[in-house]
Amino acid sequence: MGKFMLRVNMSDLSVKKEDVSQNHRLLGGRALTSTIISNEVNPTCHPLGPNNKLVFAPGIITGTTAPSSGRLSVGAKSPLTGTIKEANAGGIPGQKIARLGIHAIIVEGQPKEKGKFYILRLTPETIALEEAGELTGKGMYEMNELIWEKYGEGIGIIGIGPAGEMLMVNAGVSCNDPENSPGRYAGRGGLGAVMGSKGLKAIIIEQKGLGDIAYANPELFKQGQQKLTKGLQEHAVTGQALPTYGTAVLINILNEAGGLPTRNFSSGRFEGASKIGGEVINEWSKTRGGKVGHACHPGCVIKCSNVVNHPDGTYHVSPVEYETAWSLGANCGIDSLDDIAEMNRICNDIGLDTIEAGATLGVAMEAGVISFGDGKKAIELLNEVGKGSPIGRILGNGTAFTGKAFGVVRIPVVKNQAMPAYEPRAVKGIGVTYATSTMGADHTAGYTIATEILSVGGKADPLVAAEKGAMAKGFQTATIFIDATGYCLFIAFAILDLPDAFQGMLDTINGLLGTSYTAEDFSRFGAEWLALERKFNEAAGFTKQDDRLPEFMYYEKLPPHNHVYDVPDEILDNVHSS
Amino acid sequence: MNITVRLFAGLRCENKRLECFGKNDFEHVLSQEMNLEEFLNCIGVSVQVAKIIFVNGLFKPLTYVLRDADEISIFPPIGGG
Ligand code: SF4
Repeated sequence: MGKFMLRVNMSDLSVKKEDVSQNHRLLGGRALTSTIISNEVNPTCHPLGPNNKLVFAPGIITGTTAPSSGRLSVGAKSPLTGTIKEANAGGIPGQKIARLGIHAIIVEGQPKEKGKFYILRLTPETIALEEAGELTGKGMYEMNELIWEKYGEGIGIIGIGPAGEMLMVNAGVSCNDPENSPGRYAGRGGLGAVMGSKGLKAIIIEQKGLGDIAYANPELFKQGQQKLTKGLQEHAVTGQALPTYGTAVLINILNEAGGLPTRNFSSGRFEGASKIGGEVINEWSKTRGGKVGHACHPGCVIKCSNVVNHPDGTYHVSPVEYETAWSLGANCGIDSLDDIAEMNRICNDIGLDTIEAGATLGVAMEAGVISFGDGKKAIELLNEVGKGSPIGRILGNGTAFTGKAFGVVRIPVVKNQAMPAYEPRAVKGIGVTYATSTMGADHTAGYTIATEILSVGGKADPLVAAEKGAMAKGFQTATIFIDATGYCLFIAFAILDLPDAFQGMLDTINGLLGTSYTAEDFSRFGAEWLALERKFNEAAGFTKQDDRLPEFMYYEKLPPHNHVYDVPDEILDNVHSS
Repeated sequence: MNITVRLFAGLRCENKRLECFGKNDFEHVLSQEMNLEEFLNCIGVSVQVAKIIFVNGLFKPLTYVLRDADEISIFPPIGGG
């Protein structure tokens, strides 16, 4: 089966198949979305206007039987940051798109009729735009249920909730998991609003089985698959910690390190941390039912995901991740994991990025809109977003917007995007990533936490500024490569430590594509793709003055270590120029 | 010499002869001076498993000698994102 690109024009509602160009053939995931955006989108366009494009691209290896390899990248110019943006998610749609032979989907234009929504239906036989009809206005849970009822169980769904329809810049793009939970989000940067601006409510993918993927060297692929799988199973983080406790196991360690942002980044320690971490989620899975060791898509061997139940044992939400437990928990001074789970469910339903949502609530709490620690009021506020009330619209537009609306100075954003769950004043290297990533504040863009906190792939003192420029650069180039492959970023814990697993990862790619990539290519490509993204951002008007942390971090000392952010500007400026 | 000990992600005191046996959050009285490695031996947690150790919020090596009122937090290999 030959691969093809799909160009969906929302202005004239046409869908065209195109050949995969030579330049795009070996690319996937973030490398492909960013290449297409760079080539086809004017960097100064309005992100929600007709000239932005929304690109969906499975990773290079997505759809194959390689372990933990089901990522789908979503790219556009971001309405939150104004930069180029890629956010990726697990769930089942990525594999299905790849197995239909679709290399990428490019959505362009804008429907003439405002407020009218469509769904794009992909099956092995049909590719068609249909009117969204009764799905318009629906929350993600109800929409996903209706789609499975109408089109059949097991269908992959990419969709937006009311936040995306209302073009709120904290709207994410949802992907469903094997049980049809909408909780796997390409959350960051407001890509849900771009999808809303295109009048696209959902993409539904009807595909069964392993598809018909052509391997250039099946033997090499298989060897690589085995090596990588072995590494993932053997490494203590990917083989034990993540499936047992999920990502929220990080709550306690960041708290102990004094780097868990608390009450809108006013402290690095939260007294309620032990009530909201992965250990509690694990305990609940035994006492309330639910699950740890849940896979967000078939073929994941790490299984970091979970299902969290209500106290009475009924289903509540899936998954509760570290970032979410932190943003809606510690960052809001909330220590009730049940309240956090409820806010998580609301975000999944309305279609919001949980990191940005929690950071937004933190700023609103700082402004006195509600009090820190008041979970019930926070739930009410989040519900306002879904209703589109005036306060809901302010909150739905994110942390920086809300901070301005309420006169708050302590606004924890870079390029308008909220910082995730690692305090830069206590973990200096991650601050370099936040400041210099092409995406705004984003931990996944260059996860220095691995060496600064987790002692994976080396060990560095988190409180020391020296050497952090080179470290952040190294992580950023490696990350963009993994984001291109379609592998879940969590394979990094194993491949950073185990040379055999790293080789296995390369072998799967070479076995699939017929290439002979080496570890050197890995960083060379990473650097090239990052340069491409930076070029887009420069053309959009960004300068090195934008590669800074918010000013308050340079003068407010963060307890308990009482550090300010002290990585010099020159180090930040040299990250991408050296 | 009194110290506070917190063990995470499934770690517990494994020494049956100690009062803190089976606990993961406890105060402990040290009768003699010892470093972190000796302390881990004392509570029956292997140095391979105790991958990350903080004392008063700062990383410390196994050779660190414990002091009165130290707060020790110990983690096995963990990760997330
Ligand atoms: S490790 Fe977690 S996020 Fe990654 S593919 Fe597996 S379940 Fe999904």
